[in-house]
Amino acid sequence: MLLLLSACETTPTSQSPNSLNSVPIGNIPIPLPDNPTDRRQLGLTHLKEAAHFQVNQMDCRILVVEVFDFYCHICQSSAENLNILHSNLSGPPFNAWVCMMGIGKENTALETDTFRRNLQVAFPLLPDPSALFAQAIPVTHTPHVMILKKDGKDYQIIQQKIGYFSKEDVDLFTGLVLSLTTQQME
Amino acid sequence: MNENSTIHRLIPLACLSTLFICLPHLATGQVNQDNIYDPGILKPTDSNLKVAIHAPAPNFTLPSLKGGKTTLSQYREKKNVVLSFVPAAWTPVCSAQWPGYHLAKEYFDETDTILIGITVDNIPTLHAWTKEMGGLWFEVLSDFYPHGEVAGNYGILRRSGVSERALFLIDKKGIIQWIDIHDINKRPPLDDLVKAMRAIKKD
Repeated sequence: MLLLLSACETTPTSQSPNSLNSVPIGNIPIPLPDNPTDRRQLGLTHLKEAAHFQVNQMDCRILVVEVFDFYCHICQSSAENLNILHSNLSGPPFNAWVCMMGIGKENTALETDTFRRNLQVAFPLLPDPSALFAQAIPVTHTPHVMILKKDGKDYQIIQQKIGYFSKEDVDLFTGLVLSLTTQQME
Repeated sequence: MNENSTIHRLIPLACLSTLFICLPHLATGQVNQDNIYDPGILKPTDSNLKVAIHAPAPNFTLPSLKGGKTTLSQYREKKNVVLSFVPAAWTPVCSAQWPGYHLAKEYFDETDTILIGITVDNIPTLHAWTKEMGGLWFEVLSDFYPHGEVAGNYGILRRSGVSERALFLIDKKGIIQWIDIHDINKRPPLDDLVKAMRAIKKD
């Protein structure tokens, strides 16, 4: 297997935080996608004319977020497995509880759109040109994939993977989200 | 598929995952971060530009990573050309610029433009570096010997011996139509380049 460039800022770790980290992402403005399918996937059908949305407006109890970079080769090579994860998390019982999105760290809309089109990414990718979302986590390396659970006004990181997102990570994340979803249903 | 069957199918994954929730762990990945040398924050620019918009682009011939040599003038009357100079292989920002262009081929095709990447590194270094990127669709040239001669002719050779992070858009008549001598510490946004290429197509 080729070694991949750390230009993608990668430190390959998959970890559960020792304590559940609350992250202040709820009020960060993110461009509202025009596409109705994207809005539905993000639990944002109740927003109509806004230019931006905030994470705490999403009708989702569990968030799966990939912070990526258009220029990051490892993000590009991880896209296929993240599409598999998205496919696993689509449909019942997940769709009532889980939203998945990508945040393009320091990327423009053109860059995130180009990434999505070329790599046929099935879930919404949204630009974060000022890295507001990334700084709130904080994200220092991409790709950084995380499972977040809504807890009141805050979100807690339940699991995160920094670096290449492998097929093993797909299984791990799918299982974790299932566990969390089942807890929500009980 | 109903909810119950989905849940049953995924129960083994959920059990396994519960272990990961309780037991923080590290997994090995594909990346060897040690391969990248971080020079730290550098002076944004450190050279004196010798070319100008609406002036002819200095011609050059350089060894190509694909073998043989490439001459700028061979594209005259055939293609617009973007020259992407990056300072050095195996450095953070440079390693993150060309993989983006690898995804942006559609914009070059749309505007009848070719992209040529140039660094002052030698061919073996460029071979290893671009291979680790997973390969690139565009041509990469070595301005290694005489060291940085082309960068020097364009006025973008820094005193340290590497080039600026610079983009030149040259039209089919060999005239420079757009220049971006970028802060060496930052990536030029794709938007500016696409805008410039589309503007030249309209002319």
